Amino acid sequence: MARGLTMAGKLFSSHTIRRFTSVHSWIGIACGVALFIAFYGGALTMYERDIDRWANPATRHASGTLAQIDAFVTELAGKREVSGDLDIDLGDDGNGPLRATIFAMGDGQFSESIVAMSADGHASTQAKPSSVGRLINEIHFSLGIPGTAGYTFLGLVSVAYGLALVTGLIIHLPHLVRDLFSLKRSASLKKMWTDAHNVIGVLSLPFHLMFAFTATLLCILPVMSEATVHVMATDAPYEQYQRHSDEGGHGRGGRADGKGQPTSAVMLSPARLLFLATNAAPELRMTRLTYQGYGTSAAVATVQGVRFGSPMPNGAVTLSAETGEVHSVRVPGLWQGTDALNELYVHLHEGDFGGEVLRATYFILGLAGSFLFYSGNLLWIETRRKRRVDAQPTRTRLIAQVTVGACLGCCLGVGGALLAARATDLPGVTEAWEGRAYFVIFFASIAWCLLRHPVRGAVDILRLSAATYLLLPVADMTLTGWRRGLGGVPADLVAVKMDIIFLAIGMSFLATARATRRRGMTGQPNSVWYIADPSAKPGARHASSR
Amino acid sequence: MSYGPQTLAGIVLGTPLTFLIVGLYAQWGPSDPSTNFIAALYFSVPVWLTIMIWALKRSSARTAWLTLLAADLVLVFLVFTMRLRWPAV
Repeated sequence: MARGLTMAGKLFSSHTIRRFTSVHSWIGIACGVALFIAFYGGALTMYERDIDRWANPATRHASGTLAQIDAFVTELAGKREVSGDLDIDLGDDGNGPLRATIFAMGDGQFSESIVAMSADGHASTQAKPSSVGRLINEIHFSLGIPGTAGYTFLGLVSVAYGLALVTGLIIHLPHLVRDLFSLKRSASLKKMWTDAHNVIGVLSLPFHLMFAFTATLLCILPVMSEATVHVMATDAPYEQYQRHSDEGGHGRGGRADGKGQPTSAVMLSPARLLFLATNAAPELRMTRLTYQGYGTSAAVATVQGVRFGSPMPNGAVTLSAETGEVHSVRVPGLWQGTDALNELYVHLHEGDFGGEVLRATYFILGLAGSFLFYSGNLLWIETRRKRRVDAQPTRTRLIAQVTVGACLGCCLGVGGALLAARATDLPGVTEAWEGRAYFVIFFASIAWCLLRHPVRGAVDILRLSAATYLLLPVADMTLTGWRRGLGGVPADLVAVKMDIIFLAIGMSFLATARATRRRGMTGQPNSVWYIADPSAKPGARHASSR
Repeated sequence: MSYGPQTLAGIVLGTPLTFLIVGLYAQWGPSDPSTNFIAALYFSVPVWLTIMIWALKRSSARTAWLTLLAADLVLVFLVFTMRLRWPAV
């Protein structure tokens, strides 16, 4: 370590370190809001499937077992409309409960419904299910910006974020250990915030480096591929890579050639398909069965499975749903270099290889990342305060208002979307409108903060966020008829877990609202984060707040 | 302490330089061509960051512009030579 520090000192002069500090701060202030939204959405995306289950109560009490899968698929096929695809969740351990999503295209309209199987063989359908988990994921990877613009933009933000991290590392390398233990209660609030920012930054540095790297690849890999191809001597490596990726199959077996016009055909039973898939890849625990073009001669069944303990755990067997002929087998551990590299960055980013503990770790680190960007922006604004004058520049106040409005507006918007998702349980509400709820709340929050003093705006949004998130478990329990664990209906542990998480988020918003208000009343009067104490005599302090 | 021109040099000339370098790796890397290609894309992020850090570290913007331009020209020349030498590969 000492040698590393000496090397850093030799490599970078104090002049360079000052320059890097400036680069670090400017990238932070330019990209901080986008990164906050991406990290907050990303933290919740760790529980995307659980959130969807929480939002769709019809799927909660599914209890059909694998032995009932033939009857279940027959019933699904009866429900299916024109040229639909089926996606059947076999449960985490591959033995039920059975839930299915039906995708159908009829009259030019795409529709989706969720069907759950109960122990008595009865299938209950939720016709217009909530996809709030998917919405949060979209906010995470594209900020909700439609088309390719959103994730391309976030890819570029990720590259800049990587540069901010490397410059931050160079700045802090000489005093990395000291930064780690510097956090303590201090008379100077700014120092305490700076120390908290540094401690979280240092502790989660490897995580952030990995995220900057994998997010760049996830968002702009196609752009990077195109750019590389244009400056290569020959196209051969790219063409081979494309061919390899298009074929998709490797490990064992090969891909079947495309057939002509599909005709109506009798499907093999799903139990038989699962048996064939398990024979082809005994290492996998099968957790999902999807059909494309069910009921036709071109129908393809993909059985997905997990190999626990593998760093890249997901595998799949693709077969003909009519004949059972195996098209391709993808098994973790048997992959060639290209496939391993193609999968590695995705799983590193998604953190789906280490079970619940890793998922919770990613969730906490994601929230800590959000705090890092929020605190970084607040510190930047505070540092630029003109200390000897009362009136601060308008732009400083504007940046403070936008930071607070967009960051906290995203938190409130997500809470509002979750609440809206549960509103479909109310009588008379026939359509999920969580997407609209998110964007209306998000922009309304920014507008509100632009009209208010930054601290008052922040406190308002934080209190509203706390109320929204605390309301979520209450709404969940009320709308599901308080059946959890009562009346013979078993509690759904996934929904209970999500309720606890929302409760914890709500409580932390409440605590942050109190801390922000306290900070506003005890700070220096010419700070943008100062509000006059409402209990103080009028005129005793600067009444700059509204 | 202005470093705008260095940043600009890093972005304008450093970005194509990154793709030229990783393109060479994709062409001549040690593994099979498709693995070389995806590995090259992996390398593009750290290579770009290294070039940016290098450019930002220059005290003179002129040095940053000229050195990066020279590196770009050398690699472009190399790539064109290879295209002429192995046009059908």
